[in-house]
Amino acid sequence: MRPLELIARTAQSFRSQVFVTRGTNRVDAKSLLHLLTLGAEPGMELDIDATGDDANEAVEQLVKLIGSEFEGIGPA
Amino acid sequence: MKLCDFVVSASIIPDLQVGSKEDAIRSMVTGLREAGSISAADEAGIVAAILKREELGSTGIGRGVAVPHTKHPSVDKLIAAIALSSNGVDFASLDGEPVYIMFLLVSPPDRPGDHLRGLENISRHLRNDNFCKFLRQSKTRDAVWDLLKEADNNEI
Repeated sequence: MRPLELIARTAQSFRSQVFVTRGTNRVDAKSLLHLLTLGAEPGMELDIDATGDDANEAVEQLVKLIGSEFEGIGPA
Repeated sequence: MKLCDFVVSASIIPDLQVGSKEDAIRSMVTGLREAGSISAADEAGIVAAILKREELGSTGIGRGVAVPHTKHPSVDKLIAAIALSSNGVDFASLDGEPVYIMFLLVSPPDRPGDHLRGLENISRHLRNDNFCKFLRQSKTRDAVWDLLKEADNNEI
């Protein structure tokens, strides 16, 4: 759950609407409750998209965060 | 996975009277012990593990909901307790709001998938405004249990 909190906090730092998708479930990346419904596990593929004036930056930051595999904070 | 598969009905607290996070967690773990789901010898250790997890970051996920949890070797399957507070508990939530609905999870360390699916299942129902509203209106253990059954059958 802690990786999801980092995703939510990072998404919240942008003005854009940010979404994370797993399969057919596309959720608000700023909501920890919504992110939890993804049931995301290490190694799973997620899509990120954003709409707004800082959308590119938001996606870039989130890809970087998730790509780092949340170094240092451990799973769950 | 259904709520009724892992929520321990006898541990449901429909009218939690405490105001602090620590007391809330303690009451819920005591509920699991009284229901026979964990042993008295493991109670303190489970409380300590959950509080330690809270130190890393609150499990108050917003919208008046918290999901305190830990993995603990004393259980052989995922179990959960539910507590409802009408006055709210200060959970140091992400959104700064008090918490009215708590799902506490304990799962075996060697089954991380069950833990994730439990959280996924709970959060999916908690996204439903009606589920949260009806849960907070439930005044008895039976009323909460009936609501969980309805949620499991997608009747809400």
